[in-house]
Formats: sequence, C-alpha cells, structure tokens
Amino acid sequence: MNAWNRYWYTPLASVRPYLLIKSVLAIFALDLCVLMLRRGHWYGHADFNIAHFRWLDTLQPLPTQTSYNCVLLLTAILALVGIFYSANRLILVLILTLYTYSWSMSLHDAFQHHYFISLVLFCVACLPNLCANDLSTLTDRNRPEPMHVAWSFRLLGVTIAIVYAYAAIAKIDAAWFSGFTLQQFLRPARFEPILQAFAFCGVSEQAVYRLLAVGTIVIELMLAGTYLIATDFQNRSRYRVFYLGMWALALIFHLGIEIAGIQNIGWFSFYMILLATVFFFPSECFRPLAIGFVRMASWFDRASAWSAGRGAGPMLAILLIAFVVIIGLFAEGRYLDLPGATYAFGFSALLMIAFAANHLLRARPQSAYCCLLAWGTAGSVVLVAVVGTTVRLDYYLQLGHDYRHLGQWTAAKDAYQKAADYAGNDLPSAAAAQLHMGRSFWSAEQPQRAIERFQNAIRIWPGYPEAHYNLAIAFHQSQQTHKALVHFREALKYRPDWIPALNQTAKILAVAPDTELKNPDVAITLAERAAHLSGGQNVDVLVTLVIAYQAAGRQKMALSTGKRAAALAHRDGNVELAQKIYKRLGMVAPAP
Amino acid sequence: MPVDNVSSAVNARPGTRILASVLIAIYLAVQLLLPLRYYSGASQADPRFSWRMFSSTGQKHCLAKAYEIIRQDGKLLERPLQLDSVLPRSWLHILKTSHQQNVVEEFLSWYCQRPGIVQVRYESDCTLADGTQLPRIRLESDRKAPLPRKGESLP
Repeated sequence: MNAWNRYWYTPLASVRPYLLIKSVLAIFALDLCVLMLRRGHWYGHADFNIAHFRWLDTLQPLPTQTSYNCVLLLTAILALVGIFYSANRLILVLILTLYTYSWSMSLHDAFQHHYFISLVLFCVACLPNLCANDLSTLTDRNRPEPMHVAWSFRLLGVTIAIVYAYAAIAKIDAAWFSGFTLQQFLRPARFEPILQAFAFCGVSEQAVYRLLAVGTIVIELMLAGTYLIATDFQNRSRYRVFYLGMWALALIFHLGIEIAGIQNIGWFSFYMILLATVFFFPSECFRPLAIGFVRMASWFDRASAWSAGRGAGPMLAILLIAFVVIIGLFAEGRYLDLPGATYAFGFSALLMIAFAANHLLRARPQSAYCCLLAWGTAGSVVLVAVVGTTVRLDYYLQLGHDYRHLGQWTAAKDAYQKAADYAGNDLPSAAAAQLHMGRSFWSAEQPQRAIERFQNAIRIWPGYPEAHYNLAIAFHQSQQTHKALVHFREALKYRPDWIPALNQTAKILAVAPDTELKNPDVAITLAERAAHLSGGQNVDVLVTLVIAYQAAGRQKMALSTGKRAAALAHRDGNVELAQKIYKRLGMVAPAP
Repeated sequence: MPVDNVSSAVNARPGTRILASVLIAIYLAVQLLLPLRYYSGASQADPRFSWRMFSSTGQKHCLAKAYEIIRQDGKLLERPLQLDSVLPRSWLHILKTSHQQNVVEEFLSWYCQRPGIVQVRYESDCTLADGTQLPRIRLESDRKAPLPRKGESLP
C-alpha cells in the first residue's frame, strides 16, 4: 500500500462518518429553517437578479421568493429525512444539488460559508452508506469496533485544512499584523471587558489587538495542520491529549469569534465546532451516542415489524398512513404561510410517494412504513422550527421594508400586517409592525388609517418613542397641535436626547398661534439642546433656534444663529434655504 | 486491525478505488487552484471562493455615483441617478459595497432597458481600511449597446 492509498483508504472508526452525516444534516436543516429562510424576502424585487455564475442567469428563470423558499424548505425536509430515515446517496445528492442551487441562484448569498457547506455536503454524499445496524457491534465491548474505508471523510478533513490555510494566508499583510483590521471588525461593547482585563495586567490596547491578530493566524495554521493529519490516532493515549487540545483551541477560537461579534457569518462557527468534535474526539467518546442510535433503531424495527406481515391488512394500513402523511404535509405547507412553502411540502410529498412506492415494489413494506414516518416527522420538525421562532415575523417585517423602499405601499402594508399577525408575544416587534404599517398608510396618503396604526403601536407598547413621534407628526400635519405636542413630549420622555423630537417640539412651542401653547423660553431650551447634541451642524435645528429666539424677542441671538444656519445651508448647496433664512432675518443674501 | 470488521465498496473493488482516486485528485486540484485566482490578482475585486475571511481587504469604504441621460422634449438631459429609488435595498448594498465589475455591468444593462433611458454611467471609488485605493470602476452603457464598456465621456 503506497502513501496515497494509505492516506485515503485506511479504515477508520465507522462511528465517525455515521455521526458526521447525522450531525451535519441536523445543524444544516435547522440553519435553513431558522436562519436562511429569513432572507427569502430579498428575492424577486424589481425583476433584477445576478446569479453567482453567468451561465446560470441564462438558464434559470428570475428567482423569486417562492422559488428560493421552496428550494430551502424542500432541502430542509430532505436533510431531516436523511436523519430519521436513511441518508441514502440519492437523498444526499438531492440535498447537495438543491442547496448549492439555493445560494448560487443569486449574489444575495455571497458569504463563503455557503460554498463551504456545499463542499461539506459533497464529502458527506460520498461517504459509505451507513446505517445504525452497521454500528451494532458497538454494544458488545468484547467485539472490535466497526471500521469503514471512508476516503471522503479524509477529503473533508483536507478541505477544512485548505480553508483554514487560505484564511490564514489572506491575513498576511501589514494592516492585519498591526491589529488595525481586527480592531475594525470587533464590536467595542463586547470586547471592552477583555481589554480592561488586559489593561489591568499592564498590556496596552494596541498590544492586545496585535497579539490577537498574530494568534489568529497561528491558530488557523495549527488547525489546518491538525485536520491534515487527523486519522484514528485520536484513540491512542499518547495522541489523545494533543487532539483534545486542538479541539479546545477550535472551540475557543470559534466561540471567541461569536462572542466578540466579529462578523455575521451565520452558523459557520458552529459548523466548525461540530466538525472539530467529529474529527478530533476519540471515537470511544462517541460510543454511548452511537449505542443510543443502535438501540433506537432496533426498537423501531421491533415496533414496525407488523408492517412486514403478510396479507392485505398491513398494506392497507401503510396506504392509510401514506394518505394521512400526504394530507399532513400539504396542511403544514399551507400553515407556514410563506411564499413557496406549499410547493416545498407538495414536492416533498411526491418524493415520499416515489421512495415508498419503490420499497413496496421491491416487497419491503417495513422500509416503506419507515419512509412515511420519517417524511411525516421531517415535515413536522420544519413546521415547529419555523413557527416556534421569529422567522415569519422577521421575514414579513423585512419584506415590508423592501416594498416601502420601492414605494409599493399596498404590498408593504400587507407584509407589515402579516408581521403584526406573527409577532405573538414579542410586543416591541408587534408595535414596530404597526408603526411601519402606519408609515405606509401615511405615504399612501391615508392619514386617518396611519393615525390608527400609530395609536395601535402605542397601545401595544406605551413607551415606544418612534410611535409617539410619528403620531405627533401626523396630528401636527392635520392641524391638531395640542395632540401633537402631547405625543412629542411623550417621545421625549422615553428618548430625551432625540434631536428630531426636540426640534419639532421647540418649533411648535415657538410658533403656536394658541397663546396657551406658545412658550418661547422652553422652545429655546429645547432647540439649544438639539443644537448642542447635533454639534451645531444641523441647519434645520438652527433655523428652529432662530425662530425661537425671534419669538422671545432676542434678535441679536437670532441674527448670529441665523447667519450660521445660512452659512451651513450654503455649504450644503441649499441656496434656496439660505435665502429663506436671510429673508427671515430681514437681510439681503450676500452674493455667492 | 481485524479484517472482518472493515467494509467498504472502495475496499472491495480496485476499479472503484481508481475512480475515487481520480475524483479526489480533481477535487483537490480545484480546491487548491480556485482561490489562487483571487490571490494571484487575476480577479482581485471578487473574493468569492477564496476563503478570504476577516482579512484587511474585506474592510472597504466605497463611494458610488450614477448618472442617467434621458430624452426629454426632444433633448438629451443628464442627471444624477438616485440608486436608492430604483434598486431594492439588498441589491443596493451589493452594488455599492462589492466593487465588482460584473455586478455593475449587470445593473447597467438592466437599467438601460427602462423606457426613456438613453445612457447610464456608473462610477465607484473604494478605499481599503488601510487607506489603499482600489482601481476605480467607471462604466457606461446605452440602449443601442447595452453591454457596458469602460467610459470616459458622455455625448
């Protein structure tokens, strides 16, 4: 056996590839349902799209929310079927193809971890087709541990090594080594306690960043090397400490990235921690888990033995179960209420029928029964994962924002209404949905309905400053100054340093025709605070201050502030506003 | 290691092992060479598939401007194009921050098909976090020749 063959074809503990398939499919299915599905709202707007590959643009129809969500949900169901039923090669190839298409259909999914997961799925699809029965000897400690030749398991290790190595190479530049780049990525609020701890030990902030920058490259190269040599040495006691140490390093490194909030790259860190666990842990540690799978499989075999019985009874029962599962899948698809969900569940029902029929034709009724149960469970898990999280709320809230951005008010209102429906006990989100719906009504020139929505938002969350502010603006525009002032004051109560609210309140108090409302002194106080908070650079605020000074009879202050406001308006190229300010001050605008 | 506890199709058939070896070799070649496309400078604005994560080049600040020439009352009128009002939010972000020529090209070809549009021009300047200026993207496209080209002036 030469070195090449020894490297790729040396048998390894079967439990590793088995757990790799199950664990990767589990995290992957949840990733699709809980994280990726939220992004479906990006698709299908303005008939514009760019795929990752030009040839794909010419082949595929314009991706829409329906097509993207359908591909994601179908992939998630198949991944779960791979866990509950059998990760047979056809299912794994389908998962790989659908997932790769889901990210490559548009540049929206540009993060590299999508490509990485496709590579992981490719390696998983090439693994030996293992089932729990292949691990049955694990239950007997006197028998040798089952082994398999799994070249694609090693190929995955090499792939991960390449990823780490290139990630390290990409960082070799002066900006990275100085710690400057890392400083740009880190979120100061989360990192402050660590910096303070180092400062306590006399290490400067810059030195900490430099240390972390160099440390990152070293760790990535070390992990790359370890994945290259990761074989079944993990079980030998002299190497065990080394591999467990590398696992701990991977854990600290990736959890550190998440805790420091360096960048939002989905669940990439968690995939890497999972892979490190499967690769670096001694296979003995997986024994209890694998035995659990074996026992569960044998229990299920016994429980489903009736379906293998002769006669029409079991067959009729299987057909009845198939009917119930099909109806259930369609109902789940409709209940999800996301574009493409019904298609996804419908397609999965068709695939289930094909797989079950294949088993029945080959006289394997027990397998057909297992297939139906797995598909039914997979559909239910997807439903629970989506309904039990804020996926639909976020989806429709963002979709509303997308439509509003494009001026499609009716579609925006509908999306916000759905967001409000799915907000549940998340009161701030429910209030936000009402607020945005109100803004859409306002933009669609339906002020009364806008006011109702703003009031709904306040009813849900009385301390919501944005809702008070928008309601105040709506009242002010409808000449209901008293009510407007009440809500501006409420907005300031919950957000005292909010410049627009300070400015608007000051403006009303300075110019209100109603003597009961007019209060130039308070207007000056508020406008001066707004001017101070904006660093004296907000022309609108300075104009309000001018008006307030004039209302209080302080002409000298009005003049100096007005000149500053006019100069700023000139600087911003707003000549018209500058002239208006000079006119207000009773001056002639200077020649440009 | 006992032989009876080892199983695999690859182990059983030497022909399959050769096939697997060829697949492994091709796969590895692609994985090693694909990122070099970026690191060699052949496609520096496109970091996809290069495993460039959290590096200095990922941090850039871009300033993008677009202009359109429209036909109005029989005359040609050039005016700034408000990208915010024509592109969905997500694409706007990609267009402004990716600094990828193919993205700009696709946008120009797409926008040129709108009624009344005679020509569109797009300019983007990006600066890396360390102050390095990336090559400027300046492309224009017109209705007659919707494929974008590097442009210097407008008629």
